[in-house]
Amino acid sequence: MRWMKLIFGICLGLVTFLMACQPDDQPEPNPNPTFPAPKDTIIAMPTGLPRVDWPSDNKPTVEGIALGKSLFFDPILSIDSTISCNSCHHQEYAFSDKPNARLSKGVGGTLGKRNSMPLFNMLWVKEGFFWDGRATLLRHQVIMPIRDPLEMKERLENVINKLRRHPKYPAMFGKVFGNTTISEDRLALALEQFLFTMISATTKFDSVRAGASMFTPEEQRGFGLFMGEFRSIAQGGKSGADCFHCHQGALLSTGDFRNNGLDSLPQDVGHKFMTNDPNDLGKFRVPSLRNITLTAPYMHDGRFQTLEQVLDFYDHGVKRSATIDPNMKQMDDGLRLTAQDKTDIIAFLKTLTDHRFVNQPAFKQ
Amino acid sequence: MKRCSFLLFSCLLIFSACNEDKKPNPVADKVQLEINFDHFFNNDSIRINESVHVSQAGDSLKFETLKFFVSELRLLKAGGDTVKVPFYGLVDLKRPEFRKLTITDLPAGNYTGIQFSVGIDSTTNGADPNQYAPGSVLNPLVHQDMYWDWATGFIFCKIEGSYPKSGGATNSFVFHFGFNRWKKTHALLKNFSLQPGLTGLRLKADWGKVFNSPQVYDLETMGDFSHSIGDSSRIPVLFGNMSGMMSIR
Repeated sequence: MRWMKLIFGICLGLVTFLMACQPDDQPEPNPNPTFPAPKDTIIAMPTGLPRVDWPSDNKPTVEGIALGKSLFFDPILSIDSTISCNSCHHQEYAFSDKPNARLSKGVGGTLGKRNSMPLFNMLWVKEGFFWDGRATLLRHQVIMPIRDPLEMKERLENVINKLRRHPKYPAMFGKVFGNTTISEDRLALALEQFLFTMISATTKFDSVRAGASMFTPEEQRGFGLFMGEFRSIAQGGKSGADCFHCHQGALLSTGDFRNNGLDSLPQDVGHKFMTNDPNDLGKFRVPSLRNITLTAPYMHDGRFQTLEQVLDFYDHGVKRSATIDPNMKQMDDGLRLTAQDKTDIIAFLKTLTDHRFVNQPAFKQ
Repeated sequence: MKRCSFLLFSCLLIFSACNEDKKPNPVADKVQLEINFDHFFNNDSIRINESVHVSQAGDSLKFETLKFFVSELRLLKAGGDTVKVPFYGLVDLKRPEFRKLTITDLPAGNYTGIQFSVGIDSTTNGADPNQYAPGSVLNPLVHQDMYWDWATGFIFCKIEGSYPKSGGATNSFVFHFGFNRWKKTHALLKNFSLQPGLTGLRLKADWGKVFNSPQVYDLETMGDFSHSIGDSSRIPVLFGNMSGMMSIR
């Protein structure tokens, strides 16, 4: 113990000595200006959602979020500087695409394969990003649209070179990472950091769950149908709409990949692209229903324009296939919803709209 | 500057090395039990989405999901004493990382068996699931499809799959066990000793029993779907059959 203290003392002395003589050691000018450490910031975590950790290697900082935000809105990421992340992810639509954009549009107007997903609560996504789950982490996901020939169509080397030549980015990267090196990893971490701050947890639904407000009678009835079990004709009685099995909990999603019966022969392989497992054919991420009134059109290919069309599909349009979810397969008789049922379910779905989130100044350009 | 940080780093290394020496090795002293679940249908191993198993009623079952929570673990001792172990586990045949349970910090000794419940104790079952730390098996992000929001309770056990119905169409079977009364407690006897280090137990979960005995369950005539509510004939039969499904190999 005593000799440990001694070594510690020697080290401490050595370090102090070296630090003291440091100015003399460095007569040559530093090619990199030095940056102070970025300022940690606390992002308030909602109590109504499951507890989740920020990745320990990408904790939020003021400068990191600012850099990510700047990149999110900057068309510099695309080959001809025409398209930014924001081009397909608009705040007023909970960061999904415009209602008339069935498929996302890349550079030169090229149409993508799928409808842009809304962006919120990505800290809670654990089973992979995109409709097909092909990106394991958000930091992997953010790079893929840059490279995708149907989206930004740009090479990463070019993006990095453009950022290096840019008047403001080298300093911005410096403030986040301590020096002005710009790399793919740093670009990804900054975007991930900003995107993780997008948290939607202030809907009327959240407020009702917390006991702070009450549903109207119409919303309450819609909620009951949403949470109600399916009943076959043979079982008799009123069937619920049985939405909750997949749109579960405060996140309104089980977060996994399922075939909800859109097609008898799925045209888009879906999650099978990622797993190569034939059992995953035509399976897509179960999307959260938060902000669902803002994110039309619906489904991975944007085939439905309205919530009424979506409810009609679940009511009597579900098609069987080899990989359809076992829960959906049970519903051959259809949900037998009345016009009033559908109106009430939609009234409930409107309580999932987070007006605060879509107006939050922190996410505005 | 480089040299300076190297020196500092070396000093730190020396210190961390000193610290290591001082402490007893914590890993070797820990008494741990690893419970592996082998999923069978009678004597055949179940492979999710792959193997087909014929039940006594003549249904050809292909399983898509076999998933359950484990809680209320006890180690049984000679003379009837038991040691309560605070532990929650999730077994999911689909995910390799959820095929075995590792229980740490156990008291060393000789035991005559184990007891556990498939399901969640009533106190925890009624509590807010959003309170659990990330990484806890009770955190909804670990088991997003194993919770009923409308009933504020865990789904204790899920059995899902498909089978051909007469007439050629393939139908699904979906059985979700939940609510406190459908929690199944298993007591399994086998002498084993827990000493510092890792002890392993292999359990056989025989899903064949659930469909075959003591009561033969016919999906087509008795029903292929239940979420434990408004059901007096399906979950109760399967739940009764579950009694004999677990054994120590």
